[in-house]
Amino acid sequence: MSEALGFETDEFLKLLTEALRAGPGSPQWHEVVTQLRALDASETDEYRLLIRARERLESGREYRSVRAGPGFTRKVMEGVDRAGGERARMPSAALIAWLAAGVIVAVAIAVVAWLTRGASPAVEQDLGSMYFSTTSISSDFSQGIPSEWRKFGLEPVVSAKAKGLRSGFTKGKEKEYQGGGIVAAGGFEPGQSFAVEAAVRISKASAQVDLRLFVAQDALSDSTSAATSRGEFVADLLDGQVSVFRPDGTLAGQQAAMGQGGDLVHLLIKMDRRNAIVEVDGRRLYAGPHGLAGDKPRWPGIRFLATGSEKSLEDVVVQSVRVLKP
Amino acid sequence: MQKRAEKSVQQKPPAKPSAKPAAKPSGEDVTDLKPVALGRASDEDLMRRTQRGDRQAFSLLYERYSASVLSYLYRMMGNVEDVESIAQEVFLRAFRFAATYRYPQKLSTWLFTITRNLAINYSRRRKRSPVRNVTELNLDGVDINGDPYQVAQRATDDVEKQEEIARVLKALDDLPTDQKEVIVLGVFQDLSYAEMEEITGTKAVTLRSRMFHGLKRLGRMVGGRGSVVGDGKVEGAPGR
Repeated sequence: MSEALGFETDEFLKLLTEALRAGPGSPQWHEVVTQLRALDASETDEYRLLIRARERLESGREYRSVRAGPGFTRKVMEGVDRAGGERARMPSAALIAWLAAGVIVAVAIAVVAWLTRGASPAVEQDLGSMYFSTTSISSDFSQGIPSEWRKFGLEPVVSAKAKGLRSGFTKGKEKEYQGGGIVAAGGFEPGQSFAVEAAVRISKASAQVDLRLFVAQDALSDSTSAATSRGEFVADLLDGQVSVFRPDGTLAGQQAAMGQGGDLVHLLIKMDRRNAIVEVDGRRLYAGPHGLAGDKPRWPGIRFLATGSEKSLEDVVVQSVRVLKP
Repeated sequence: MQKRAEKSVQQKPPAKPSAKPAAKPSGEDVTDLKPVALGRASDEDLMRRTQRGDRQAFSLLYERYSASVLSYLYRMMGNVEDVESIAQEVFLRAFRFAATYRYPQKLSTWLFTITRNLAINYSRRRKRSPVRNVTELNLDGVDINGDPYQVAQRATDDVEKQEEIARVLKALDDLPTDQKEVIVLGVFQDLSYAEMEEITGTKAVTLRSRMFHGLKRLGRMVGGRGSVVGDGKVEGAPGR
């Protein structure tokens, strides 16, 4: 039957099933009926069987038909809203990610700049409020020059009469400025904050003794006799006046006139990686960048540049020096 | 029969999705949105708006297709709980992954592909985990025509035909899944073989064969009134 009708052949099957799917009245339906009517009646019975099944299905199309109620629709739309919110938030998230990346880059740049060029102004403020409580070196020279110090240039001497350290003297060279002093045997890392304080007794304002409390960025050798080395931050006491000089030789901050007649003056330099504060007896003369290289160690020390008679050298004596750490 | 058949065609549900858009967008104008009212926009236009995050457009698509998706799932799965879970996921995915829809594919095809895949996955999970989560049914207010006799009564006044319709509908559930699926998609959802081929991934010739044999088996139910079919199972028995 099937072979006679061609049910199993693809073309007729296609036509038949499409006719069934398309339903009565459709061109496919009309074509199938025309072909089937050309066949005998027994063949059309099965076709009618199919047609009836199809028709019953069509008649029962409402079977298990479901329409969404308000509860289901609300639930779906709430889900869509949430999904939409997530979609809408994505650009914000991306924006936040980009901003975060920008902040990270900015921080990295700032850190690099800080490491290479020095501290930020905030650190300068921190230096001013920093309390240096740990004594690294404390010397009153009553027993000579301690081993924590290394002498350079014209060796200073401990004056028993003046009870302190004064400039060395070379007979015959009274008319020349000769330099020499002491420097800490151990330097400080550039990131290490520290303070160096010298208690200086000024018997008489003298232009013949130039006392310098300094922080150098290069270790001074014993043979260094020059007045200065390159790269020093200096609090200079000359002729009763304290001045601050940066490594490039420029004058910085304020100047202060010291008292005379045996006054004890305290010179203080606080320093961190980038900044320095200079105070005289608690009076701040300078606060700002010290100008030293950010990658070199720091060597605190005292230098005398002196001329004139040996007696005049006792006009300015360093009674004690302390190096402190936070 | 001809008259009855014409009547049945006229009784097609009004909410049937507008599967055929007025004009398919060409490849060149896919970025141009025509200034038409959303309600008259084609499925593809609404989908393009949805892809741009227009939830109003998507709600219209939901109105057009929710009944089809829900009914398809109910006919295939057989219980409302499954329908609820899967259908929600269908529409959420349709919205979330709207960008994956590509022209000129018909939206109905794309949507039924999602629906079918989710239904299959859901059925697999259910087999692995027989413990069912009884969820709150949110299909409140829905019109669920799950009783074949009631459906048949609404279809015709002829009591004899009502019996035949009910028997066919009940027998539908006893068909092999592949035959049942092609009948549900082809007859109930009005999809073409090309569309069914795309949705199921099965060649059209195979689908036609399944349709033929499925209808043939149902036809025997109509003609044989509860006869024993190939697998020895008595079809059409009350209470199924």
